[in-house]
Formats: sequence, structure tokens, C-alpha cells
Amino acid sequence: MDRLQLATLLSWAGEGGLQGRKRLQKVVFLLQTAGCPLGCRYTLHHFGPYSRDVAEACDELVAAGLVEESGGPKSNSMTYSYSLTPATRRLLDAGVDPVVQGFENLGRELIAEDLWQLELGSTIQYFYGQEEVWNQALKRACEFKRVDPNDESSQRALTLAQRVHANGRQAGADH
Amino acid sequence: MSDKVFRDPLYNYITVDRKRDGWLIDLLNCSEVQRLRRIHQLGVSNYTYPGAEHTRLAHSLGVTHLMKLVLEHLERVSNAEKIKAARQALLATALLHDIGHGPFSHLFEPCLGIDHEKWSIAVIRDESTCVHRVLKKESPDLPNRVADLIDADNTTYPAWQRALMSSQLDVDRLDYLRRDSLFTGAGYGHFDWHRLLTTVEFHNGETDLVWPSKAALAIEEYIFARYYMYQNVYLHKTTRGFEALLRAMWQRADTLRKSGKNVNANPVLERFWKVEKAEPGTFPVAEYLRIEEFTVLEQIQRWSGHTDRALADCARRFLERDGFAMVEPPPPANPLKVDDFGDWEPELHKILIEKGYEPSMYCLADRVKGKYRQPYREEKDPENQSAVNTIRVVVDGKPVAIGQHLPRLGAVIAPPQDRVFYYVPKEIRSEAVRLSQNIRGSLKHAKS
Repeated sequence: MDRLQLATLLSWAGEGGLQGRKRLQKVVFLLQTAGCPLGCRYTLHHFGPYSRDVAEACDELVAAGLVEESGGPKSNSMTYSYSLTPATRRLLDAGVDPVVQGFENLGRELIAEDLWQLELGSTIQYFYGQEEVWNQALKRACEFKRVDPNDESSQRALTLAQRVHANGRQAGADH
Repeated sequence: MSDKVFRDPLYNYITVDRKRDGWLIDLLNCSEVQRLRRIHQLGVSNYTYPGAEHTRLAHSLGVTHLMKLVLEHLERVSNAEKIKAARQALLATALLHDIGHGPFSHLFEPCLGIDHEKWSIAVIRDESTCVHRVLKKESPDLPNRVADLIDADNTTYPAWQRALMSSQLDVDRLDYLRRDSLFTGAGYGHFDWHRLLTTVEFHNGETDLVWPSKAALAIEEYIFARYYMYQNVYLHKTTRGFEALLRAMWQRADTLRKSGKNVNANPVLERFWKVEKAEPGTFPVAEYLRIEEFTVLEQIQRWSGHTDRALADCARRFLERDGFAMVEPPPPANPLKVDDFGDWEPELHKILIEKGYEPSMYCLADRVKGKYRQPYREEKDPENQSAVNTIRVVVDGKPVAIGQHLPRLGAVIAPPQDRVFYYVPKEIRSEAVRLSQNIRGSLKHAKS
């Protein structure tokens, strides 16, 4: 994921910025599932799919002064927040990443999604990538997250994963 | 029964207990492991540092030695049975972690599209290899277990086992930093490795690894050692220039081949190239292992007499160590597009063409990703930290990321941006530098 791609994604979060590194991780994972070519490598970590590439891309934008980071342990907050600086917004006025921009609607929806749904939904999707059977993926994800697969919340996360996956299949068919 | 003893310039003696670990000697004697004797640990760094002739075999042996030491320590300070149960797989992983490397280690990977980790896993899983047979004789599930531990994406085994082998502070790095420092003669890369190995402890229900705060300075020293080694050895401009030359040559040969021209390939490379996408599963492991450094050098020697002038010239340059000069391009006009240097490349190409050089072979862009210039990266979010992605010390009973514990490290561990350097024939260098300066000047002027 290059700088322009991540800046384009963060622009969808608006002035308030994107809340949480975990949220960023899951949003990128699900966007990739939906066919957005961000090229980040994921492994299974404490809270589901996790990518060093995403963490590094984000930290690089902060170090370069293109993204403002707030929150975190130094401010006694568990959550970091990321927003574009005014200068970066002006740079984006000259052109966002056109391919990533094609996923704006889904991206905005995911950024606004409940964090638990993103966590569980992306974990279901991760296991679906290995199993290719939704029920099995749900079972493994719920075992991993220690929740009941029959809970309403788990079922909603499954629907989210399936919807994003269908989006990816559609994107693949379009290409 | 006496120990098997190896002399090693880093550890003096590396011993293997024949009674307990005789299987390790059998593994070492396998042809796939012996092949590592013929792979330079640092690729073509010996073009810059003549002493850098050490091999993947000596490194793998060193890593095995360190793994043995750290396991002995963990056995003493924690649940000994748990450590003993993992010991054999971890020692085998240490010895075999680089078994799939191709010629010149990492640097040749883009030339043939090799992913050494995938090949390492394939060599271990392939039933026809000696290492597979030795592992299987020890335990039927051992080959798969070792392959899983090498696979960075595999989370079957506990994080502490993966972290010992592959993390921000692992036995692989502890060995290669000091070994590379010694053989290059660079003089950097020293740190208190023994303290790091003998103070690591379990955390979080014995699944994760941390260090006590008394090890913080040894960790700091280790991070600085990495920083100096990256600056002085791993990213040395001369070495990077020869690496770029090697890549350009292979890309040229590939282009010629695909356009139907005879590139006079030696038999094993011919077979490799014939496969659409040669990787484990489409190309036999035994054939892959036949691609050696001498295969590559012999191929380059063949090309030095090729009818394609550029290919022949670059082959000659490589063999005679007649490298290119490095030039820094002007900064990108838009910091969000770090690859966009505006007029720089087209103007540089004009200069090259005027002098009779073909830009595709004589204007080599070398992208150094920011993460390769960063000696240590840590995950900021405490919830997402683990031994694999962050070095942590215990302060007041809680694990704290080393970058947070020692804020002075900030200057060294801040993520640098990707950089692109250009390599051109030496006679073009001064004109290229002038061009870069002129564009820099006009950028400054436009900003003001």
C-alpha cells in the first residue's frame, strides 16, 4: 500500500479521522477482500487478521508529517486516531488514487462500522480464505474469538463478511 | 560418545551432543544443507567488502547454536517439559530456515522470481529430500512441524516458538548481525548477545516472550548495531549497484528469450525458464536445488560473449567489477507520490541516448523501501503487540515496548520513507548530478 492509496482511504474518514489502528487493519483487510488492490500481507494475530504492511504504511505517513496521529498511551487513551493534515488534503485535491477511490462507498461504510463487527467479520473472512465453507469459517472464527456462532452479533458479522466477499467476486468478474 | 565440535569464529566452539542430538549431525550431512556452503550469506557484498565470503551454512550452524543456548536458558527458568517438547522442532527449524535460498541469497530472488521461504518449506515437505527423510525418521510429523514454523503466515504453533526464530529480536538476527560484521570487517554490529539470550522470559501465561528492564540497554545496543549495519553494509551503494546490474542483466535475458532470441541458457536455467511460473509445485525441488551460484556465474560468463551488446557489456562489467555510479534523483514534487520525479528520468534518458547508452540497461533505478532502512519497527498499539512484532521490557509488572521505554530510540526507529537511487555509467555521473541539482533548484524556486 503506497502513500497515495492510504491517504485516499483516510480521506473517507473525514475531519474526525479514522479511530483506531485495529479499525484501520480490518478496513484494509476487508477492502482487499472486496477486490481493492492494496497488496498488504496479512497473518492471524490477537484480534484477527493483522498486517505489518498496514502498520508500517500508517507510521510512515505520520513520520512524514502527512497524517496527524492523536491518542494512544501517551494521552492515556487506548485508541490512536488518524487524520489527514490540511496540506495533505490539498495534495489530494490534485488527485486521489483512482483505483482505490472506486471503493469509496464500501470504504466509508466499513470505517463507520462497529469495531467488533469488523474484528469478527474479518476473522470469518480470513478463515473462509482457508476453508471456503462459510459455516466452517464462522465456527473457527468464533472459536478463535471465543464467542457463540449462533449469537445475533456473530451472524451479523458473517453477513458482513459474505457481503464484502460477494463484492470482491463482482469486482473480479468486472475485470 | 564424544561431542561433535565445530570451530566457529563467533562462538569459538559449537558442540553437538551426539547422544542427544545425533540426528542433527545427520541433518547437517544432507546434500541440501551442504549446498548452503555454496551460497554467500551477503550476496555480492564481497564486491565491496572483500572479506564477506561467509556462507549460509556457517550462519545456519550459528543460528542452531544460539537456539540451543536460548532453549537451555528457558528450560532452566520455566516449564522445562514444555521447552523439551518443542526443542527438536526448533533446533531443526534453526538449521533449516534458509534451506530454500537461491544463489547469492536474497539478491537473486527478483532475477528468477524466487521466494526462498516457499522453497524452504517445499524442500522440507518434499519426501524425496534427505532432510525430509532425516526429520521423518525422528518423528513422522516433524517435517510438517518444521515447515509450519518456517512459514511466516502459519500460526499453528505458539507465538513464543515463532518469535525465537522470526521476530524483531530472534536468533537469526543475533547471529547474522555479528557474523556479517566480523566478515565484512565493518567494525559495527557488536552488542551483548549473551545477555539477550539469557534474560528473555515468558509472559502472558507462558505464550509470549519479553525481557526484564535490566536488558533494556542490551536491546538498545542491538538496535543501534542493526542501524549501523544497514547504513554501512546492507545498503552500501556499491553493493546495491552490482545488485541492480545483476537484475538488469537477467531482465534483459528474459526479454530477449521471450522475443524468441537465443540467450544461450545453461540446461537447468533453460528448464526453469520453460515453466510459465516456476515455483514449488510447478518446478521440481531437486531441479531448483541445482541452481547454484556457479550456475549463475557460468551463465554470466556465457553472456559476456553474447551478440546483444548491452547484455554482453553488463555481463563483462559484473565479472570485472566495473560497476555504475550512484546518483540521487531530485525529491519528488508530491510527497504522496514518492516515485514521481517529474522530468528527471526523461531528461536523464536523453543524456544517456546522446552518449550511445540504452536507458533500459544503463539507467537502473534502485528502490530501497523505508522498512529496509529501519533497524527496528514496533507496533504502537499495546493491544496488538506480541513478541513477533515488538520488543518489550517488563516495567512495573507490565510489558512496555522498548521504543516507549527508551524514547531516545525514537530518532533511530522513526519510519524512514522509501528512497530511489539511480545507477548510471561513471562517465555520465557528473552530468546526471548537475541535472538532479537543476531540477532541485527549480522545485525550490516553484515552492518559494
